[in-house]
Amino acid sequence: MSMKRIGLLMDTSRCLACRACQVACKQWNKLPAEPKESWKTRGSYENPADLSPVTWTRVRFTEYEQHGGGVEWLFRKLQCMQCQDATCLKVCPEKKALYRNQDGLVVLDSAYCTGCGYCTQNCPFEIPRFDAKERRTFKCNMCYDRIANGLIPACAKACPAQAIQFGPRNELIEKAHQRIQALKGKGFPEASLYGENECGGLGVIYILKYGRSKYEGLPADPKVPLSVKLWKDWLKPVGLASFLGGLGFVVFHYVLHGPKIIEKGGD
Amino acid sequence: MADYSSELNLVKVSNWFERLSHTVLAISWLLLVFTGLAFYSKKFALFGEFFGGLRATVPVHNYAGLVFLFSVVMIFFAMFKESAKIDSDDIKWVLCAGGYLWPAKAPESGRFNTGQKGMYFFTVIMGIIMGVTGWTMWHAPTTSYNKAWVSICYPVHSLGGILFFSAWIVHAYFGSICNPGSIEAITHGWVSKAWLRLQHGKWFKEHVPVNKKM
Repeated sequence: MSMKRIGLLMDTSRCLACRACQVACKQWNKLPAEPKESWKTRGSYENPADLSPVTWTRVRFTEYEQHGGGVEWLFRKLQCMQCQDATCLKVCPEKKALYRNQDGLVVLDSAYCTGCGYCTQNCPFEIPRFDAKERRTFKCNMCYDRIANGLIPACAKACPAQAIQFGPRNELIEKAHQRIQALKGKGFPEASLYGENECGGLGVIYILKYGRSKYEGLPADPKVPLSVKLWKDWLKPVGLASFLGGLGFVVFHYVLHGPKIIEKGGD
Repeated sequence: MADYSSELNLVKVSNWFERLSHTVLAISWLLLVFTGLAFYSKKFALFGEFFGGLRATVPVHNYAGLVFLFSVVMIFFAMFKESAKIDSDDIKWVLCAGGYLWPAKAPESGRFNTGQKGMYFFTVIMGIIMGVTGWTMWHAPTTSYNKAWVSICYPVHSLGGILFFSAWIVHAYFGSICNPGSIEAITHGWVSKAWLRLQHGKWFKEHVPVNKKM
């Protein structure tokens, strides 16, 4: 990518969990609402309960017990993390369905989705979601259509708290480091950045008030799974060698040794 | 009806159940190979076009897999008795590579030769492995399986496909142009006595006395 990489900076320390981003996402992407599950039965104020084929972003709540005994909510917005080393791109068999677009974004065009579900099973962040009825996968595409037309992603546009900032990735990282220094000065010594180098560098980076292990569902060390490397990188030369070996054997055997025929008296 | 048995040159060497299960196996296998290759690598995505694009290829592969698995069960029963007859001649056969690679006299074969028995067990075992991993990959997006198990299914199915495909190339070669007259044994079952004596000498001597009807 010759051009500057773009990204989103999620400042979780500023997030209010107002979920304007969720609404804006649904509105722009024309996604229907989901049946509401009562917090009384689920024991959580999160809504909806999970990402789904029609919910591409949501704010995840973690109940964090402070040392003093108080309880604090940690809010973290989930969406496609836009990995540089994107597992989904590696495993998807259809290059029209999942590709990196001209802005460097990992885009899933569900119209071309084969329905194999490989990306849903191997994404280190469990972002793509499978629609069982349609047998297609859907995920957040960072509003690539808005970006291509000079707009910023709908979630960033809607955020009233400056918790979602859009821009060139290197500038966002610089901003993030400044903010983390400020947070440290305000009594959050564990404040840290998430996504600078994970998966080759994420397009969506988090400013975390606490260590990453405090945030539920946030993988400590996300990467292309070993099983995917085995499947998509290491086995490819084995496959080629095995195929050429078999074919080579057949050709050489036929030409050098020849068939076993009655008229030859055997071999 | 006149008795032509002394003049017959052809003998029937396979039964209908063996031929039927092998034919179902072969047809579903060919479907699996081309649909599977389309998913193996983006380089082979073109194979998917024959089935109407990759999206249409998924159910073809999945259901062809079910047919294949069914035919593996059929062939398991059809050929188990013969394939399980393993004796010291089979070891000798392996040690001289069946006489196919260097000048060596391979021991005469019974109804199945050692290579065929090997292919039988390979097919049954690989068929089960591919079936179990493939079933998991098919249903993983809509079923909650153990995550580690699902992850391991992808490379195992891929490696299994590689081995199965390579073995098939060699199997198809040995069963056709390398040994002319062999295809007939599994398509309609009629082979010449000369072919039978050459390819399955032990079985020929035991079951086909010269100039006698089978």
